Amino acid sequence: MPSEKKVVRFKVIGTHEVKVYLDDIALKYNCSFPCRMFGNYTVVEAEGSDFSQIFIASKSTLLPELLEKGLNVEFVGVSIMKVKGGKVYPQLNMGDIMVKYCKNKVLLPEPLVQKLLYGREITVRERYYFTNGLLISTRGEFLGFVNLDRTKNGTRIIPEKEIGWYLRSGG
Amino acid sequence: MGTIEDYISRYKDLFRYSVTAKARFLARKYGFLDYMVERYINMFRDEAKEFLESCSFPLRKSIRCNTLKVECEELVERLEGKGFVLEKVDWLKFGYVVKAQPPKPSLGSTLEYMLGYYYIQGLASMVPAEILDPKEGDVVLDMASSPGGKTTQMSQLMGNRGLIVAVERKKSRVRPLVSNINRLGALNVVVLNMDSRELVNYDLRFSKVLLDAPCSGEGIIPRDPTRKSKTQPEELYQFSMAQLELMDTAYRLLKEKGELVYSTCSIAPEEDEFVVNYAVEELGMEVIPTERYPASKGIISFNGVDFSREVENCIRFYPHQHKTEGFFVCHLRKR
Repeated sequence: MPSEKKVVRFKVIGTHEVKVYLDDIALKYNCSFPCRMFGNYTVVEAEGSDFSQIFIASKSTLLPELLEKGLNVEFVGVSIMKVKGGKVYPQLNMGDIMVKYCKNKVLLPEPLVQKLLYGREITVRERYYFTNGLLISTRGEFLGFVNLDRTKNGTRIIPEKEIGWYLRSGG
Repeated sequence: MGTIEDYISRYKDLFRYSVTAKARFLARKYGFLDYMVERYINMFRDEAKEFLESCSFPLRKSIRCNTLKVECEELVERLEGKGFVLEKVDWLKFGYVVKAQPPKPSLGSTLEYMLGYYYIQGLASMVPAEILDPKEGDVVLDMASSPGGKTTQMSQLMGNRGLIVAVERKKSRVRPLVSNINRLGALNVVVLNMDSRELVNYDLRFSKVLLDAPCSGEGIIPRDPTRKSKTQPEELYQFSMAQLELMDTAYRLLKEKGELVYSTCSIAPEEDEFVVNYAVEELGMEVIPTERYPASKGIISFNGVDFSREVENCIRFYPHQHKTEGFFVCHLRKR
């Protein structure tokens, strides 16, 4: 018998409810987030069949009411995290925020950055002492999440999710 | 208030076309459908040929600087550093024409594009959101929102405050909409995947509505030449019917004194003035004059049919006159 597709339900959650996810991210990317993170936003959780998604939106008194009306909501504000199988995956808009609070950063010359933004791995001579990092531009802009793998002669940098995704996603 | 069917039957002559030999000749020469050219002769008279010729030349590329993420001066400096030459459009708040570009990168693949610092958008298509001018206290409905150019522009005008309900009927078009919302950092948008017409079944009212209606795309032939021969008269009629229904829905969802901007990327009066005329005659809406743009007035007489004089207060853009995509915009208020 085919399984019924679970309806995605959007609900406003308290900022304290994302703390456990933030702690996970902080550990992975060496971040120190403020206590009142997202205090200026409405935080929304969408619970689907395979994964949950966390969004932040501008503060609005109407938003919680709108989400209760039974409309076919697809998206609220911008996505900041996906939670799947107990693992937390920060999204690109979260990266913009993380860049201010996290220490695991990878700064590379633009030609190498371009390769990563097109989804390709690169190897550099530098050694990094972390395995999850934020790829940033020379101006300090967040460009993507990367995984780092130490090799004999340096570090292999593997793009995990980067802003080149916007070109591939048909936007 | 009569029904849409009553209204259409009163104006049925609008959809009857008799093609002249001149129209047939020009249609062959420029690769258009006969009835389309007949209508252009009706609209442009001596300028019809000029219009047809302008449809063979690509439009100037243009971008909207996204002040939610960057200062426009910085964006210009960065793109010019990469070999682009930009010129500010003085009649738009955030519009720039791309006067020259380097062989690489393309306009849609720069780092600044990926960072959401700009949106590639036609000049005329930046006008509807500017005219609606949503403020931070507004609750706005965007009735056919994908791919999100106007939605994110409204977020920008609202400083990411207030609320925009962006509706997209086609599931396949939700993905690019969401991608653009994320890329441009629009935080005040809720995306619904449903037919806007169903919204009347919910207890919802909006202070402002943008109805950028699905249309034949007769205004974007310079960008998509297949449209020269795509829309048959019966399909044009179907577009008009759907647009009238959407106009009716927009009216019902607007608060008293609420404002609506109706726009299409079509220059067909059947999709433009005819629909606005319905809002004026049948729904009792008022057309607010739009003056500060370099555009032509709305058409009050077409194919032997006269519309309310109020539709003259709408505006039209043409490639041969204004060097933009063909576009129609009208600002209305619920009395």
